[in-house]
Amino acid sequence: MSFSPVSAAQLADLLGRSGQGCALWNAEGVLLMATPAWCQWLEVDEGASPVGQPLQRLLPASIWHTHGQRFAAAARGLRQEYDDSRSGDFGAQRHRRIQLTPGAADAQGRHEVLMQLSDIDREYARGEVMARQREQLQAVHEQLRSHRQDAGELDRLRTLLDWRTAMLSEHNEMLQLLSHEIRQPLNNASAAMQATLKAIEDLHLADAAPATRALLRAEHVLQQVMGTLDNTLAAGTILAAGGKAGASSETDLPTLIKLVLHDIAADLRPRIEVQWLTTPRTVQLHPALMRLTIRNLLNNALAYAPADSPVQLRISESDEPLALILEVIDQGPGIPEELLAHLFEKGARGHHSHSRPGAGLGLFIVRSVLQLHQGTVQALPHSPHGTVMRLVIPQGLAE
Amino acid sequence: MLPATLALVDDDTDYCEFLAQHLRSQGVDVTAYGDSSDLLADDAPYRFDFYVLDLMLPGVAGTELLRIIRKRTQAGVLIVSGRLGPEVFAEVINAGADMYLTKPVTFEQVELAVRAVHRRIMTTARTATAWKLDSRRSLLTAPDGQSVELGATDLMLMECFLQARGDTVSRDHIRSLLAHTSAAESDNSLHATIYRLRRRIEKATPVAVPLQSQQKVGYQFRAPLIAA
Repeated sequence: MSFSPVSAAQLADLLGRSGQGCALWNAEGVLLMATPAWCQWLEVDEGASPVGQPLQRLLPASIWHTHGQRFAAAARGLRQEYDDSRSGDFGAQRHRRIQLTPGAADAQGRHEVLMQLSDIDREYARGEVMARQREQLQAVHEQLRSHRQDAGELDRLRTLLDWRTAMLSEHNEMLQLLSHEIRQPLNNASAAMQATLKAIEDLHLADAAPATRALLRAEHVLQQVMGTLDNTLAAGTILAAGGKAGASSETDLPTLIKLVLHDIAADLRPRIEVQWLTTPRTVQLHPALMRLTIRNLLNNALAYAPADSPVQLRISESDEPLALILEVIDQGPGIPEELLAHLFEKGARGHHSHSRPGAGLGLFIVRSVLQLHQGTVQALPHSPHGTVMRLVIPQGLAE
Repeated sequence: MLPATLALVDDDTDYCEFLAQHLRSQGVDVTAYGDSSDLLADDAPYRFDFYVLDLMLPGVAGTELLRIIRKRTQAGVLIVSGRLGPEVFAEVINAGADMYLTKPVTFEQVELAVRAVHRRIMTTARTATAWKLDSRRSLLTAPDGQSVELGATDLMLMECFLQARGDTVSRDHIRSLLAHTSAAESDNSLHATIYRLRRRIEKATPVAVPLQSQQKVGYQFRAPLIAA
């Protein structure tokens, strides 16, 4: 087997065809060999036979500026390794790792240098992908943390809400208890006064009128205080129930109307005229709340209309749709335009209301109770003057 | 019309005393109890013609006392309580109360309610004379002799009650019978049909109509009803 050692030209040719970027220059910096890939990267004109020329003259100034110091270090015998990046066509980044390997040195200690380029685009791409993934991970992490914060905020709000609900229900229980403790004694005082009135009457005294008037006045005040308490309590109860329709039941209407009349202070009661246009007996409604509702309307009418004017409570029916209609008709001044829009809101009060107790809850309760019955309440003008408060209470509804 | 004897159970002594005094002055034999256990421990706690109960009682609670009383007697029961609210109301009516009054009430109001309930009881379940249904002539005759002309749907309903012999007729059953009429389409129109039947009877006779709705179940005719 015989072989001949490879020539420098053969080696250069082979390296060039392998696509390797590679060059060799001597101690004086004169290029001894260069592959096409090397020429391309360092922007050396391959066609102008670069071999034999000094490196500094071959390279464009900007490139020499980038590498000159590295070349000098390698020439002093220091091995160099560094990455060189540049923007290729269409803005894609390209990357080469450059290795400068010092070779033999001349008498002045200057080394010849082998330069190798390796394509590290893939390594960079991988790095970029990893960096992107890291960013994405970071973003996901941030999102998670902010979600956790949201969840924490939600928990906090929920706790607050639970606490408020508990407070509200406690509040309501307090109100119930308080009103029970206060209302019945007031009621008993009222009863004692009624018994006294009866006793005075039975005595047939010659001059009982002043005593009777004073007692009636006191009873009147008591009735109003109880009415206010009832309204406050009902407002709390209806609202606490969340406006859900409670059990309306088959109620004896004539009995309910009689009960309502007895809720009105005895001195005002004679002003009320009950008119039965039809005579419904068993109706579907919530008796306790409807009793309060009718009482509120009657008390309003009695208070705002002239002191000796009659107030009518008119009962009728509608067949289509099936409904009970209750109207409270007064001969008062009517409801001012500016009050009409807010009439059924909490705290709405008419003129001269400063002389009456109450927090403007009456009509708010009327509307709430009618909503509970899926019915309506309307304030209509009555000619020649006065107001008709009209309640329409649907009948024959499924409970 | 007031009951001859009445048990009053309420722990408010002032209220009890005044109310008992008032009812006695109207001729009622009132026995007052400050505690529900006192009534239950009585020799004959179920002898009364009428009961007026508070809900918040020492001893057995009012609603429970009401259930106990209902197991033994069909006497009238009036609840007079400070508790106000739809749920309380439903609770006591379901437990068998005839009427529920919220305090404060005057004694005239209690008397009024007692009269109304007692009158209704005496003219319905207690009456010896039955309601008579004449299917051939579509006529219902009340115990007082007044007759009510019935429409086709009304007659169908009354025949249901006749067959049920005092038991509750379920809504589903009524709906299936009314299947070919518009009344079966929804609960609302079913209720409306019953409401109209009741009104038709009420217009013909002052006798209380013993037609009772059983919440979410159906209807019951709570009085003797025979075929004519």
